[in-house]
Amino acid sequence: MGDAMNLLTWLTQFLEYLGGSRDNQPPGFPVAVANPVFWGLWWGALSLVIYIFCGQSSKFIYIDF
Amino acid sequence: MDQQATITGSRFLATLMVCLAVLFAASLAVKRLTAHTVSRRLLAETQEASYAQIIALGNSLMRSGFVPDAFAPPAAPQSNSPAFNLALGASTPPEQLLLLRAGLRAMPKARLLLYGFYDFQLTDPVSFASADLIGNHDILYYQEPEFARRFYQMSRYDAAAFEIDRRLGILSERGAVWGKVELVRRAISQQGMPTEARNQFGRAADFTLLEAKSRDEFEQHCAAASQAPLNAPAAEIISEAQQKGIRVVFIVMPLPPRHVRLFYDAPAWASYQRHIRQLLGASNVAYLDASRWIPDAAKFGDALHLSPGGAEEFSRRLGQSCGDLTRSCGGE
Repeated sequence: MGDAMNLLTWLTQFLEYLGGSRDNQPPGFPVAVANPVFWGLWWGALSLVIYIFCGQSSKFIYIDF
Repeated sequence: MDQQATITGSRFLATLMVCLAVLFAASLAVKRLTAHTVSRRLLAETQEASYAQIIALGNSLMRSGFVPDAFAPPAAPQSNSPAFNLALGASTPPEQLLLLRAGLRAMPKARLLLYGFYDFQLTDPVSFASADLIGNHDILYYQEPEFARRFYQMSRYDAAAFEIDRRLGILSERGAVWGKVELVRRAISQQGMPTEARNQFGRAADFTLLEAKSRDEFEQHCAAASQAPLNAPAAEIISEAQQKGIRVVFIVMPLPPRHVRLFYDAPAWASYQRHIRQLLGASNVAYLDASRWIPDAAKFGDALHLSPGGAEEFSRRLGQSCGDLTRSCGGE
């Protein structure tokens, strides 16, 4: 139970760090903050998610794609 | 905080470069995945239609309403109808002009152009915002884009966005990606709900949005449009067809009885139609009013489009009206 709680806490810190709401990486974070490849891939992936879902306000009367 | 101190300008730049590389790869992927969009498929079919003598052009009303085999049955069981449906759903005259130009290059035997329209398609000026250029409008990004820009208006901001968008597949084909997401969104929202009526173009109920809100608004539009010339792309369609020696017939497409009753029975519409006939007559273009040809509401799939059965009936009757290519076609 204790391990599960620790894991959840770590996961929360991990996601907060990725999301930018926490400055310090949690202990055991697998990638150094100085690794530009990881952060470039991460921000690229986030940009793609935004790109894919940002068309919601478009007028889709015709969808015969 | 020590770790934050390790972020340097060069590392930030490297991160940015990796991020841009991801987006560039995604752009290539989008371009590859959208190589067969509706407009591209239609252009590809056009390249194979060198046999065509009759071209049907227009928007979704013509796309769904014109059946080449019903209009002009093939001479032999294994051969093609001499007619070809070059109409594109959700298109406006500039896109139709581009399709016609592609058709004229691929169809040296073309002798007759049937152009279907409704409401104020011939006289309303065509203007776009960058956000409008999704779906089948994507043809404006890649098919003679500089030529087509002469036939529609954009603000400076939108024109700048257009120039950037058309060079990047991830932007020019964004509508195809968003369309897929929208379909998923609709499928999820349909869970546990009554099934919505749909046709080949989308939700049937959506097409009432393309009609005028009221008869008053429609009549005011008629009054303003009765003073307007043909818009530039419509005039260019006529000019380019006639330069090739092709006879041109403009057809008011069949519309559901509700649309006819609500809008086309108005005296202002009759006045606007007289204006259109004068404009077309001056350009030696035949005019055919087929708006009342299909009086049965059951032969329409939504507020604008013919059902497959209605399309067969319309096309057969249009074929009878036109007779063969040597006879005068259209004009009442």
